[in-house]
Amino acid sequence: MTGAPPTVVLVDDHALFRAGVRAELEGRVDVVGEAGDVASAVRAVMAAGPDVVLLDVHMPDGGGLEVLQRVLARRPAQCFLALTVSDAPEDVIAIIRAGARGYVEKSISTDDLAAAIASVRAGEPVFSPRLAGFVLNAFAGRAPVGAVDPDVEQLTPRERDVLRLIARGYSYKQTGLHLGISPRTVETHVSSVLRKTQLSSRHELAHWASRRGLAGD
Amino acid sequence: MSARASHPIRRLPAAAGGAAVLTLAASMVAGPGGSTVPTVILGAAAVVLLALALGARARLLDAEVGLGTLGLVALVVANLAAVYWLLSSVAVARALVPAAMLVAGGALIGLTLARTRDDRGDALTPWQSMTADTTSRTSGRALRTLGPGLAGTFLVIVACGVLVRHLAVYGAAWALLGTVMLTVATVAPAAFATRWVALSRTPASAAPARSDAQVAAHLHDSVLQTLALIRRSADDPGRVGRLARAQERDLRDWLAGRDADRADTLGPALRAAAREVEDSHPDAAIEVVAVGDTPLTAALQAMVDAAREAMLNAARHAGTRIQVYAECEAEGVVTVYVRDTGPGFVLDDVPPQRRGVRDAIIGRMDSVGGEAVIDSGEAGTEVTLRLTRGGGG
Repeated sequence: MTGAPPTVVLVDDHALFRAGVRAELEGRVDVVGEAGDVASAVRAVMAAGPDVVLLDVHMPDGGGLEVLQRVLARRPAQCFLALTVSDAPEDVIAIIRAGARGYVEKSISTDDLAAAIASVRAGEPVFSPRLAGFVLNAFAGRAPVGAVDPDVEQLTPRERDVLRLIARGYSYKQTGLHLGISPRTVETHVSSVLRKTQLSSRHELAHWASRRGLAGD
Repeated sequence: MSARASHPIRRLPAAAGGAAVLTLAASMVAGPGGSTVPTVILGAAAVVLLALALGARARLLDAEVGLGTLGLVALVVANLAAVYWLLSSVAVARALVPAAMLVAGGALIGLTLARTRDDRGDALTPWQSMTADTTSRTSGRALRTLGPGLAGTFLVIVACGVLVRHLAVYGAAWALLGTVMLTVATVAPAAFATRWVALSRTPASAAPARSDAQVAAHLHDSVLQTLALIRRSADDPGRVGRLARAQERDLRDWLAGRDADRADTLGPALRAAAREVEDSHPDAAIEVVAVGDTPLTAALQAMVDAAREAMLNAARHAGTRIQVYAECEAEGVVTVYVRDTGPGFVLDDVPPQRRGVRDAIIGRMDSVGGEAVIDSGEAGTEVTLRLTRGGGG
């Protein structure tokens, strides 16, 4: 939380939603650009170079995924926060894999959204309980022997503990208290989980997505 | 899928090849060069094709199997022609080559007929079928569809020409009659087989159209009704919030293909319980996150009931956000956490007449050999339910 409010570009194909977010975040962030489709979003982000891009997952012409890929190809350090109504694991995991630093639902409160924007700007991933659950499922869905891709790093027991607590609704600070570690260490674990999720192979995740649900089959 | 893969009809190509080889062998033993040989082989081929057509009519074949079989029959006939030609009789080969061309042409025409149907995937949730990218499937379709058809027509025409020339020695009338009969005997079964295959597959290809109608019906029955209610309740923010939330939940379940009434595993059962609690306590917002899932047993049902009680308790006392996390570990341990961030309570302070916490949560878990721990403090209350599957179930 530094002095100047974070600069933000809003990308959403619903003008009404953009207007709503802009009004809600008035004074807490500095909206430096808006876009309603993939091509203009890439232009707006490249032109404005904002601290954070608030990105809708579902848009025409390839959606948020396409924006992410095109911008990150040219500016790998650009920070994205996915904002979505979708609760489909495929969508959420895909956008995280493509490089978003976090994912929040559109029903999030204004305070939480402002906090999430500040977090991703500070380089911390934003993990909702739902996302923590998706990631735990993604890594736990693999058979202990045989089916595991040796190239994919598994989660450490500590990282699992952190994710479990986030899935149970604990904040990073509360998670740290519960595990007897500093919030900073919690963030390190979460960053590491995010990196492993992004590096995990497409095949493994597709496999998981198709069989998510029943444990032990 | 797997049932179809092992169906006896799949052995037809092999049977066709075997029958043709046997016929050929028998005629070779009887003495090569007889004019009856091509007739016998073509007769056998026609029988096989008719069998294929009947199989398709009985809806035993799908388009790929049927057309693949036709192609294989053509290949077998062509190979036999080549072998027989090398061995002895040029006359037989002369009859067989156009016959093979006819079969192949028929198969290609059939393929064209089958391809004109657009089959989009059918095992998708409404959300997936609406967002699925279908543009790549339709591009270049004209060329792919018409190419085999044109090639097939060309093959059939050339084969007819060759047949007319070969049969010309018997006189013009016989040549024409023979050509027409052979063409009909090979092309007609192929066309009929494909037609029947197409008819038998119609229900599957009609699924997307029906799903569009379902989307419209669902939007009309649920979303439009809710929007109308919201408009009428514009002066009651609480009611608007509840309506929007209930509608959102319905729509999510529907888009994800979840059936709220068929909660036969832990995750869906917990979601159903959360929904009940939300319905009776409109201020509560319950999010259920499940890692892994497992079929419901009597013990797990008791656990779901205990979790529902914990959610009710949280909704009553804490109010707003309630987080439910369920985890099924590989070792058969199932844990459910119900957490709220409201003001906590101390179990010993709960008056004895309020039996909800003790009986409905702790007692329930005890009775099925599980345990319940209630951790309440300033940051909120968390109820932990733990059960080992099979251990006391």
